[in-house]
Amino acid sequence: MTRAVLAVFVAAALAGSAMAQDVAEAQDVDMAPVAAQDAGEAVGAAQDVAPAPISLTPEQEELAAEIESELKCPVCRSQSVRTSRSFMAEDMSRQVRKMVAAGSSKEEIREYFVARYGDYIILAPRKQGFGWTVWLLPFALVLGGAATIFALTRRWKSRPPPIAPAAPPSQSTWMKRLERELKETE
Amino acid sequence: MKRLIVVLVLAGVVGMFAWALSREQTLASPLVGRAAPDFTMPLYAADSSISLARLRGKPVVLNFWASWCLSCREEARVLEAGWQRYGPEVAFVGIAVNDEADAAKQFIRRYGKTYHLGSDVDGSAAVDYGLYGVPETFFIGRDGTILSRHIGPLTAEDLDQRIAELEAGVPGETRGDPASVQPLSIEGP
Repeated sequence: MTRAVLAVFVAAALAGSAMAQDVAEAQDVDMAPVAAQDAGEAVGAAQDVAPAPISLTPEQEELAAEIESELKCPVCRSQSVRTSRSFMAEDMSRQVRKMVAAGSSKEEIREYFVARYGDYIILAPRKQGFGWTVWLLPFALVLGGAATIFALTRRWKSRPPPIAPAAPPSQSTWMKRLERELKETE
Repeated sequence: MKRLIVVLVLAGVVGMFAWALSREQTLASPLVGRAAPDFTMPLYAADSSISLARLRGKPVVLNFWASWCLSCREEARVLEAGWQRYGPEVAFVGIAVNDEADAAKQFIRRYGKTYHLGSDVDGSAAVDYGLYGVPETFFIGRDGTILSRHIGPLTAEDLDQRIAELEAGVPGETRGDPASVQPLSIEGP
């Protein structure tokens, strides 16, 4: 059974491959850009070459690490390029290191990524325009809270002391009054 | 006074949400309307390379793909058919990202692809184009300006429409289906 399934798969793969080659060979198009690509065997120039490591000075390493920590990995959930191990983060990290090695400033590198991905690529909001709200709002909220507590405390302190309820007349006073009124009625 | 404080706090919270939403990743690429970043990449077909600068003067369909991407299989034949129909007046370029050469070459043979296909060896083209995943396609005008971006696999209708815009030099919108893009998130070694 397994062999039969395998045979079907192999046959289908061979048929597909042959068909693709037939289609490619049958096409009479201007092949100037890629003359040999339709012949399967000729496809073979670009190879797996690991990108050369980019060596940096200790100061440059520090700068690259700082920038990578501030860049969001676009394919991750709340992860920086520094902490992510995704392909995308690796490519971005290589670009950061390349630019640092070439002498680009932190701001230039940030601008490079913003120009390609948009503002969201920066993890921390920028200190300009509406971005200021995010920087200033926490301080404003803390100050507002402190002011409210201060105002309430002052109001409570300045409140007049509660009026003490009048002391009920003592038993003897009642008794005296009762006796007096009884005498009057007699 | 109390009401004012409550209103201010609420306005702040709403503002924060609005800001956070405005930062969400959108389909629109900041690169649309700007000069397409140049690149040079080795081709799979021959012992040579290609650069975008060499194609200046022609409209270019620049497709990012990978052999491990399922959606790329859907559009593979669409792109080849597009090249057969519109090339060489319109240049078609395919850049394989985060791919292995053998797998990429097998993919090329399997789908009978004949246009410029090369490898983004160090991932610099992917970053230069603000890539999120594959497939993504950029449509570049004769003057080297990016006119539009398509996210996800292209259908024949999409391609015809985009090329009509491209030949007319009309900027198009960023369209596509982000759900069908495979993000470049697979962990590296």
